[in-house]
Amino acid sequence: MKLNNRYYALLCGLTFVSLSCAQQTLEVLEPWVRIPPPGMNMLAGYGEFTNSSNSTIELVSAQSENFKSISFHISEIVDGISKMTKLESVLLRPGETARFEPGGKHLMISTPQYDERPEQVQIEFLSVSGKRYQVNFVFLNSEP
Amino acid sequence: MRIYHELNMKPLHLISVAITALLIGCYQSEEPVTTKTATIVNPPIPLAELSLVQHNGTAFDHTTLQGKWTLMFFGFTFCPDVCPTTLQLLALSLQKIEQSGIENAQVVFVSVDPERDTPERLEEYLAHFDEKFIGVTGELTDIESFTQSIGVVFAHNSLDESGFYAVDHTTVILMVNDKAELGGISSAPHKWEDIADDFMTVRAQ
Repeated sequence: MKLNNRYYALLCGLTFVSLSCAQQTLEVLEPWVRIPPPGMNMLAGYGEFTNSSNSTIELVSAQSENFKSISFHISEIVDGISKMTKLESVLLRPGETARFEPGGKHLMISTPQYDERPEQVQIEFLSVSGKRYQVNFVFLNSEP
Repeated sequence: MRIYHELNMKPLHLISVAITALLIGCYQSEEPVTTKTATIVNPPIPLAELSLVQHNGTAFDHTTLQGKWTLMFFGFTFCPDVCPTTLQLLALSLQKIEQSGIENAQVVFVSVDPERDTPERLEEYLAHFDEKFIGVTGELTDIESFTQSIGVVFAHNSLDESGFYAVDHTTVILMVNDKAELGGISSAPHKWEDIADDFMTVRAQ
C-alpha cells in the first residue's frame, strides 16, 4: 500500500504521540523534513506543534544524531524581502499551537550525518524545564 | 552586519517600479487586464544589459532571454526554506504552463550568493526541482548591477557560530517577455496556480 505524503506524515506524528513519555504534553502533527537536493547541507523541518498540557512549554533546543545541528528559525517577508531570523526558543502556552511551515517558522537543520538518507529521522526537543520530547520526522518533497 | 548590495539601499524600489508600471498601465490600457496576484508592467520595461554565467558555463545575457518567456527568481542554494519552496512552486507552474501548450517558457534562478553558488553547484541543485531550470551566477559586481537595475535587493548576513550565513533577498518572481523586457511582477506569498495563470495572462498581452 502506498501512503501519500499527508497520511505518512500524520502516521509518524501519531507514532510519536504513542512513543513519547507517558505524560503526553507535546503533540506534533505531520512532522516532515524537506528532501534536500543532492549535496545540500541545509534542510528545513516543519510540523504543527501543540502544547496539550496544563503548563507552558518553552522549547530551547533540538538535536538529532542524524544532523550536526538544528535550530529554530523564522522566515519573514519585510517590504518584499525575505529575511531569516534565529529564534532562541519557541514558547507554547497551554493549548497553544505553533505551526512550522514553509515561509514561516521552521527548524533549520544543518549537515546530515548519515550516508544514505533514511525514510525518517528522530529529532529530540529540549524544554527550558529540562523535559525532552522525541519526534519522528519523515522526509518529503513537499508539504503533506 | 548586513551588507546591502544596492547603491542606495531602497527596499521599496521594486514596489515603486510596480506602482509606476501599474499607473502607466491604467492610462494606456482601455480595458484593464485582471491577474490573480501579479502586477502587469505595461509597457514592458527593457532589462539592462547583463553579463552573467549559466550553470552549464555558457553566457547568460539578453540572447538567452530573447525568444523565450521567462519566470525569474532570485535566491541562493544554501537557503533552507523560502528558495526550495519557491522553486518547487515554479516547477509546478512551469508544468501547467507547458501543459497549456506554451513551449517557449523557461525558469531562471539567479543566485545572489555567487561565492558559494558555482555553476556546478547550481546545476546539481536545480536538477532536483526540474532539469530544465536555468541557474545563473557570475561575478558579484555583475549580479549587483543586474539586480540594482530591476530593483531587486539582497543582503549578506554575517556568519553564525556554525560558519553559515544567510542572504536576505527579494522574493518576487519576475515575468520577462520574449524581447528581454520586464512584463510582470509576482509578489509573495506565491501560489503555483496563480503564478502560471498570471504568467499566461502577461504573455497574452
